[in-house]
Amino acid sequence: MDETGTAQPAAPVSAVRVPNTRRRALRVALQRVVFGLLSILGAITIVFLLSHASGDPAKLMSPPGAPPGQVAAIRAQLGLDDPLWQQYLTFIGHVFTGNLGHSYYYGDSVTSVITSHVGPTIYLALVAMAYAVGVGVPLGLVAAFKSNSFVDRLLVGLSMLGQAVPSFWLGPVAILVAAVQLHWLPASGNATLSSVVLPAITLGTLQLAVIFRITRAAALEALSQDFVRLARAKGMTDRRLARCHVLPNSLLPVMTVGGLALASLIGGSVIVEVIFAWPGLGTTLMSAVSQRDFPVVQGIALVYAISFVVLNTLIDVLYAVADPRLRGVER
Amino acid sequence: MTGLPHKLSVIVRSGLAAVLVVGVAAACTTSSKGPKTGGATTLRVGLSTEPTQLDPDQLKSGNDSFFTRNVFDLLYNRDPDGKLVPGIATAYKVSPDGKTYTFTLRKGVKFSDGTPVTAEDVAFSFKRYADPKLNTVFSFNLAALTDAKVVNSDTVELDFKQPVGDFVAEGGYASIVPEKYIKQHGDAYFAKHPIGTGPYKFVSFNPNQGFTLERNNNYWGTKTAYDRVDFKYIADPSTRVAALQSGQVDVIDQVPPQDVATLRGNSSITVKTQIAGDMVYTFINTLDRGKPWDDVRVRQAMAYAIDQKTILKTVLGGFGVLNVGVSPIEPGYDKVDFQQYPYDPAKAKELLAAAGYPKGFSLDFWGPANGRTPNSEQYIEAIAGYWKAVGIKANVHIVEYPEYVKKQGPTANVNGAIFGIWGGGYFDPQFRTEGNLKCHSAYSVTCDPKLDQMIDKLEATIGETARENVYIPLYKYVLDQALMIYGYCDEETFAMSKKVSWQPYKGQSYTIMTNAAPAGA
Repeated sequence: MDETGTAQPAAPVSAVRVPNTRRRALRVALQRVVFGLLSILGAITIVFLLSHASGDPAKLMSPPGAPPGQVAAIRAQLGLDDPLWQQYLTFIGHVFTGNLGHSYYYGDSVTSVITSHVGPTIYLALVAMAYAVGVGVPLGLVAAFKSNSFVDRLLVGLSMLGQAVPSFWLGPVAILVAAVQLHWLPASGNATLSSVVLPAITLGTLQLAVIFRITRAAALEALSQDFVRLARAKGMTDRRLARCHVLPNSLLPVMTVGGLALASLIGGSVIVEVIFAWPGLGTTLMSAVSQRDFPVVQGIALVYAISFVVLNTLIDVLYAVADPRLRGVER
Repeated sequence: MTGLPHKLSVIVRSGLAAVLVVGVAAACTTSSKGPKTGGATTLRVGLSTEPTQLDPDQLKSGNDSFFTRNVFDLLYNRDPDGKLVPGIATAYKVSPDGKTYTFTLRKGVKFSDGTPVTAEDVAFSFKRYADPKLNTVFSFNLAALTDAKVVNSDTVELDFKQPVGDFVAEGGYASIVPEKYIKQHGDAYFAKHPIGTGPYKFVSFNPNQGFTLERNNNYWGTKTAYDRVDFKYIADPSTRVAALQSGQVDVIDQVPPQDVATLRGNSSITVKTQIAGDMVYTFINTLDRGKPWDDVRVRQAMAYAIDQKTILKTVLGGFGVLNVGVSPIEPGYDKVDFQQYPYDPAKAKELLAAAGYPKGFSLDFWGPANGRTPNSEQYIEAIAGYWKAVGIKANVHIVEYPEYVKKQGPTANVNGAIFGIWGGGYFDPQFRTEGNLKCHSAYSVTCDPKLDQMIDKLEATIGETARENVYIPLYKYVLDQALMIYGYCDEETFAMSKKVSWQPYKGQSYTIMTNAAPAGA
C-alpha cells in the first residue's frame, strides 16, 4: 500500500472554484470506466492464457489407463480441441453476453458456481474490514494523541508485527489456540455464527495494521495544524478534538487505503478460506485451479478483477463526497 | 468546515458500533457441537477432498466415489477386509469363452424411495455406465460390453466382445440405478437428486462444503447405526486435524504423517491405518533404445542401488507396504515368493561396470510435486540420492501434477526415469498391468513382446486361481528384466474420536461409512 502518495494533508482552507467542473468530472468518469473495462479485459486475458498453457484438463480428468480415444472425446466435449484463438474469442464473446460457460466438474454453470460461493467471501471480507477499521482507526487516533508515549510505541511495534505475520501462519496458530486448546471457536467451516471470527481476524490483521498506521500518520498531520493547536489551546477536550477535527481530516487517506483494503480482502482471502475451509470463492478457485477447471478459474478471476476496479472507482467518487475541495463547490 | 464530514464520521461511528456489537455477540455464541439433534445420532466426517457431482455414471474423478460408494451398490461389493461379497447379485456363471456373464439377482432389494429393483434396472445400469453421452471418465472399464439382457425377473446376462477376466473382481463397475426414475426425471435431475440401493440415502450436497446422507431404511443389508452422516470438506490438513481435536468432526481422512504421533498420544482419539491400494514405483523408459538403461544389467543396478525400506521408513513414515508389482489388496499377494532387489550398492557398481559404465551416466527423472501423493518430491530426491552414490546422476524435474501427467506414456520420450503412481480401488492387477506395461499403452514406456503375450493371456484367463498363475510369473519376469522398479503400496491414515467405532475399507481410500457405529453400541 502506498502511504505517501495518498496521505494528502487536508488543510482546512476554503475551496477553490474550478471552472467547467461538471464537464471535467464527466470526462474523468468516462475515462475511469474505459480504463476499468480495459483492466478487466487485460486481467481475464492473462488468466485465460496462463491457465490454458498450464495443463490439459481432459488428460487430468481421465484416470490412469483411460485410452487415448476417450481422452480425445473428453477434450472435444469440453471444447478444448478448437484452436486457442478461437476458444479465446468464444470466451470473450460469451462474457459480454453474461455467459461464463459450464464447469468441467460441477454439473453447473459457472455463474451459478460463483453466485453460490460469492456470498461467504463478501461476508468474510466485510467482517474482516469492520474488524480492521473498527480496531485500526481508534487505535490510530489513540497512538497519535499519545505519540511517543509507551502506548504509542507498543502499538506501532504491534502494527509492524501485524504487517509482517503471514496469514498462513496466523491462521493455523489461531486454530490451535482458540479451537484446539480453548475450544472457544470452531476450527473450520461456516456452520455457526461464531465461525467467522477466526478467519476474519486472520484475514483482517494485515489491513488492521495498515489502517492503524495510516490513521496515526494522518491524525498526527492534523494535530500539527494551526487550527487544531488553537482548539487545543482553547481547552477543547481530546475526545471532542478527535471527533470534530482530527477524525474528519484523517478520513481521506483512511478511505483510500480502506477501499483498496476491501478489494484485497475480497481477492486475497484465498489462503485464509482454504485454511479455514470457508466455502467461498477462494476455496472454489483453489480446487478449480488444481483441477484445471478453466471456466471456473476464468469466471472467478473476472469477479476479482471487477471488484477491484469497481472499488477503486468508488473510492474516487467517495473522495469527492468526503472532500469539499475536490467537489469544487462550497455549499 | 462543512457538516458533511461530521455526518460521515457519525455514519462511520455508528457502523463501527454495530459491527462491534455483532462481533461481540458472535464471539459470545458458543459453537453448537452436539452431534445429537432430537435423539438422532449424527456422524461428522472431515474429508480432504470432495465429490464434484453425484451421478455414478457421470463420474468426473475418483473423488466422486466418496459419495457413490455410500449410496449405491455394485453387483458384487467388497467387505472391510477386501473380500468380494455378493451385492445386488448373489451368484454368477461365466461361459467357457469368458465373454458371457449371467448374474442371479438378490430378491427383495429396493431403492431408497421404496421402489423394488428389477432386472430391467440392472440391465439399464450397465448400458447407462457405457453411454458415451454421459461420458463418465471411467467408461473404458466397460468398453468391451456389447449387450445387457434381461433373462427373467431375477437373471441378467451381460455380453462382451472379448473375455473380461477381471470383471467380477471389480464388482462389475456399474452402480445399480433406477431406470424408471431416471427416464421420468432425466439425467440432470438424477445427478442432483440421486437414489440408490446402498446403506445411506442422499439428503443434500453443497459444493465446497460437503454433503449429508441419512440411513436408508429400505437397505437390504444390515441397517446403519447412525441416522445421519455429515461429510464436511476441509482441504487444509492441519485444519482437518484441528477440527477433530476440537470436536468439530468425529472422523477425518488423510492424516498428515507428521500429526500421527500427536494424535496417537491423544487419549480421546484413535488412529487407524488401512492399505489404500495406491501403487508407487519408478518407470524406466526402455523405449529409449541405445541408452545405458536399455541394458538389463544397468536397470538391475538402478534397482540394487536403492534402499526402498529406508525410504519408506524415513520419507513416508512407514505408511506403506513394499511390493514387487502384485499389490497387497490383490488375490495371490501371499503366494508371491520373490522380493525387491536388496539394497546392495557394491553389486550395483559391479553391474554398471560390467555393462560398460564404471563411471555411471546421467539421466532425467520426472515426478509430481507433493499433493497428489504423500511426499512424492522427497521420494524422488531420495532415489536420486541413492543413484548418485553409485555414479548415476539423475537430473530431477519436479513439476506440478498436470505437467507431470503430460510426461507419461510412450509419446513423451522421457530421457530416463519417471515416477509412477496408480490409484487404488482395483482388486485385480489386469487393468494396471495393461496400462503400465503393454506396448503403446497410455502409461507404458515398455514394449516387450514376451511380456505382451503374458498380458494377453491374463486378459483371457477366467477364475481367481488361474489368473494368479498368470500374473505372478508375469511380475517375476518384470522384476528379472527390471522393466520397472517397484516401490510401495500406500497406507491411508484415518483418525477418529473414541466415541466412534469404524473400520476403514481395505483397498479404498474413500470413507465408506456402512460399518460406522457409536462406540460401545
